[in-house]
Amino acid sequence: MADSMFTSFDHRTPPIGPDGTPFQYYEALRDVAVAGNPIGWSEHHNGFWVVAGYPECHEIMQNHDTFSSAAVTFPAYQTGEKNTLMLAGMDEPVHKKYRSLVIQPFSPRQATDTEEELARSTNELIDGFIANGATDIAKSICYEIPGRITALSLGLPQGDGDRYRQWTDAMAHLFTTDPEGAAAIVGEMHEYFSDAIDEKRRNPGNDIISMVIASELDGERLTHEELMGFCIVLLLGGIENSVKMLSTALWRLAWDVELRRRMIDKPEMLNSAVDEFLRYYTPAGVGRVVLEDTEVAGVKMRKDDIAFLMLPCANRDPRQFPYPDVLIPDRTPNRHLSLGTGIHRCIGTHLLRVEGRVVLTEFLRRIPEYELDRTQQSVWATGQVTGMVEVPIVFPAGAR
Amino acid sequence: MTATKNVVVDQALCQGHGKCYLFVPEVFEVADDYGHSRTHAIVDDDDAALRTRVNNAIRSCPEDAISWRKSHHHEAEGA
Repeated sequence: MADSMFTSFDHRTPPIGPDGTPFQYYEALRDVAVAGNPIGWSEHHNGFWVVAGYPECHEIMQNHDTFSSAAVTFPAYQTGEKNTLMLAGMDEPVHKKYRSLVIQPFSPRQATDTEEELARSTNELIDGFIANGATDIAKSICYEIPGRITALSLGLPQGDGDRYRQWTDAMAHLFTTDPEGAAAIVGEMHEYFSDAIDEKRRNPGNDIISMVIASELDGERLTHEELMGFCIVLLLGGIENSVKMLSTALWRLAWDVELRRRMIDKPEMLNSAVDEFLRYYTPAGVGRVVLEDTEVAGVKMRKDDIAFLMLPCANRDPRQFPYPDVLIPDRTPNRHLSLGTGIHRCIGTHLLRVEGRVVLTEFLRRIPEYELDRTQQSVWATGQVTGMVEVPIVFPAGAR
Repeated sequence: MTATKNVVVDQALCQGHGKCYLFVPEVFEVADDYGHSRTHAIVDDDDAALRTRVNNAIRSCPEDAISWRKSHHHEAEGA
């Protein structure tokens, strides 16, 4: 039983349950993990270890000497780069050097500074559909905001956010089904960022691309490939997870009326609720490459094996979280792994929290009463980063 | 009564997740651009509510970077 569940496991194509999410399946795998098999072998993708328990995932993430991030996306996203994914796919000591270049724009203070723009942007989007009484919130808000904010921090036109989503989709999803089509789209992206980098060289601004262009590493300016690497990883990191976190949260709030009323009564609870949404509906797992023979929880791993950390299961591990399958908006402590732990902790953590809090607050303020449009389907996207991607809703029409 | 802070953030372990200063700003604050944390207040022995929240912050830290200062009698708390 335990064997068969791991053997056929593919994190990119989990079965979707009656609730419209893969979590019933993840919970079943988690049960296998907690019953004494936290790690198993899958035969997909030429074979890889599936790590489904919390302590085991935590241990591996902390042990970056033995577990390389070179396989953080697995199978590897097709970004059109020769080199490994900037920051996320790098190991020490290189990772730390690059990371230090872009820490400042992601500081807690900088994140707070985007609050006003986030609220303005969210309200502008709501103005666009509030008179209709119906919309797909994933498309009309959740897809838009992360693209806009990423464009803003890269110093590029916010209207380009639309194209970014197409590019992240090509790198993260399309390449598995239509490699040629994906490569063409990724080519467009490289052209766009090449032009943007050239433009920023001529007219630097107060943005991340200009900042990285002006910085030095060991006394040298960064190469074009390195600058491109930053653009690509900030695009992937800024958009994929945030889109899905926001869509899934608004989907849950559409049918969980009690939870929604609590949020409206106590908006300050959204601070901890964002972290609980990230735990409960963990959007992604991450891969690692074993650098030397090792053992985790009694399982022997060989050099060059892949270990895929199933964070959606680990974040439901009762050894770490009491009542793991209950969404508790003010859960504390909440040591979930969705944003990583150790040296690869998500650099956008502070921005993501502000993004979640502001978008949900503004949405619930303008549209406190809404429900899923039962004549249509909500859609959960699979892949390495998962979550709701279509959430059609209805609500009392009229401007507020 | 001593002026030594009784909660400490191990700077070698902290990665700047920011949960502690988000949830217990009375005790933790942002130390730098990295989002690293430090403590800026002493937790009063009699403030049970705050002590509970600090204990939650300790258990929330993804890096196990926060602890009651050793030799302090709260050391074993929340174990």
